Amino acid sequence: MGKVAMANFSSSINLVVAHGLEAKPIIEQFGLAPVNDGGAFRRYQGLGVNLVVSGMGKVNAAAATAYLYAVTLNDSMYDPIWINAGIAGHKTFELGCTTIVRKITDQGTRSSYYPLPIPSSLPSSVLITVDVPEEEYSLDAAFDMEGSAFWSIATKFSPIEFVQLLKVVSDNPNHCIKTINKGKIGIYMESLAVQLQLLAAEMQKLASQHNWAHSLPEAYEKIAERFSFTVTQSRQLRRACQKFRAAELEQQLEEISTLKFQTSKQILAEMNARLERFAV
Amino acid sequence: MFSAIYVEKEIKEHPRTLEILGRFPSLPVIECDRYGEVFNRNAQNFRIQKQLPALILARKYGNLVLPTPEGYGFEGQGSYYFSHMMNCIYDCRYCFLQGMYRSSNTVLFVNYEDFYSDLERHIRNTDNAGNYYSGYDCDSLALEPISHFCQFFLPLFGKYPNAMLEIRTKSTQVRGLLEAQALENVIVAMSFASEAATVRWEHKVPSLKKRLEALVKLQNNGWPIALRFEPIIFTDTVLEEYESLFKWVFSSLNAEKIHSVSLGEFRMPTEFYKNISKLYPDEALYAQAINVQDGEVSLKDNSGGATIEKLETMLSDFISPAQYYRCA
Repeated sequence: MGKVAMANFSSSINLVVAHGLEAKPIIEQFGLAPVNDGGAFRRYQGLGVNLVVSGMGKVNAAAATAYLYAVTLNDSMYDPIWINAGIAGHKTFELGCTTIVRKITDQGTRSSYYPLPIPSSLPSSVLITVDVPEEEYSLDAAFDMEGSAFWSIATKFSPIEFVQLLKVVSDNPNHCIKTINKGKIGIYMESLAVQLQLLAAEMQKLASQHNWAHSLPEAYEKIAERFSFTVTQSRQLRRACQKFRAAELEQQLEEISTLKFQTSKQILAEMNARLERFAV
Repeated sequence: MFSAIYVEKEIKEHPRTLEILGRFPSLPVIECDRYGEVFNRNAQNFRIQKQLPALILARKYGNLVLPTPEGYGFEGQGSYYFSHMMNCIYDCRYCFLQGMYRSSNTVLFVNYEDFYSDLERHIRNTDNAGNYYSGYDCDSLALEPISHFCQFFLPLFGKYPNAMLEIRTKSTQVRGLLEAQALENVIVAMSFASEAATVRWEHKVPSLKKRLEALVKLQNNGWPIALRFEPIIFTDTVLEEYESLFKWVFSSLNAEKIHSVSLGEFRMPTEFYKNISKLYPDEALYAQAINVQDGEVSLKDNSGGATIEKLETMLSDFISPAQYYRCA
């Protein structure tokens, strides 16, 4: 299937969640349905939204993020939005408190990453990604087992401004990790799912503007279909089409798309000749 | 103005840091080890970030005062620039900073004392003189209520009257200057573009009227002022637009007392231009045909050429040749 431009310039929203129990309220909130493709990870899909259940830990999170990208790559021509959502321990926050992550530190490598500080009414938090469950709550931060790996992979596929992490506090020094049960996870994640939808909408605003700016005029498809372009020529064609749009010369581009040319080189030459005459 | 404040661990207790944080009690404060972790990382999108820019408070190491690029500013004695900030809160579509930096966050280096020492060392090494430029990598005055740049650095130039400081700006934050004793060797250089260019390409920037009002006040208070007409962007109506701008500007200022006036056409290193074109594929300015020469991009002048020369002729009606230079 070829890449199809989405009429509203939206990006797909890709959600990475560690556990099926965490995913359930999100699946309901977003109205997602399972995708039974026999793939390596459990996956759900709805209108413009994908969710993958990664399993716990950094390796699983990294693999599932890459997997989700690979299997949804052709669904849209735009870079997807990525959100990692799930439960986390926290030294000072109350149970059930949803927090937006402003800094991620991988405890193993000591590397830190910084999501775009998107406006939010939620309390913000540092997230420390650990290899084994944190029971000491040694720093005033949230603790999870996937965040840093998710970030490292997701930011390979989209600009970092399209990647966020949202966590809900499931344990703290007064309610240790052993007190977590299915029922509590469901309640916490229901609350997170509502905030997740708001965050996704906020990110979608940024993404849509970005996507619109990088979209191509309709004439591009017509021209691209008529000739066989080399990789370099394809890049030149895309940029030239964007210039026609930027210069408000789309009508000329439409006209060019209907003219007779023998080769891809000739049509590119005509486009460039017309752009040469353009002055802002 | 800012979405968050990043603070380097090392300077989190610095008095200047604490004062700035006190001004923004509701912003998230995020600690980092070095500002480069946030500012220089890969896969950032300057344009998206510009919608939610953050302030980064940091300490600057290494060479704080640097020789100016060739052709920058006045000829003559040693010329240097320094940047207590990186990036600009304004959003001018033609600005080379968009292509130079990966991030649109603003970095403010709080270790002014180190800048002061390095500036003083350079002044002494240049026979207590030299030209010093602030505002190459930022707008010097745009964050003045937060940075108190003037309050800190003006006394140094008061001490060395033969050392010249040029403060390049589009800001109208001149209260600090107006409250201080004017210094003959500190020049406030205001950038102007034509009204049409301003409306089209200068976003979040004080209006031309307000900029001129600020300059008039400064001149009336004895501060040397300068005019920087750049970047000139070649359009079909560029001559008429600038003729009107020149008449308006010089009718409000005492032209004889203007320290200097310069013109410079739109140009930037090829790499920066490529980066910006990718960020703004929908911007008409980057659809215009270009010349590439010696690693620099400039716009093709489709108006028949010699636009800069014609503008220079226009300027000569208002100022003497000694007051003028063309940006290389």
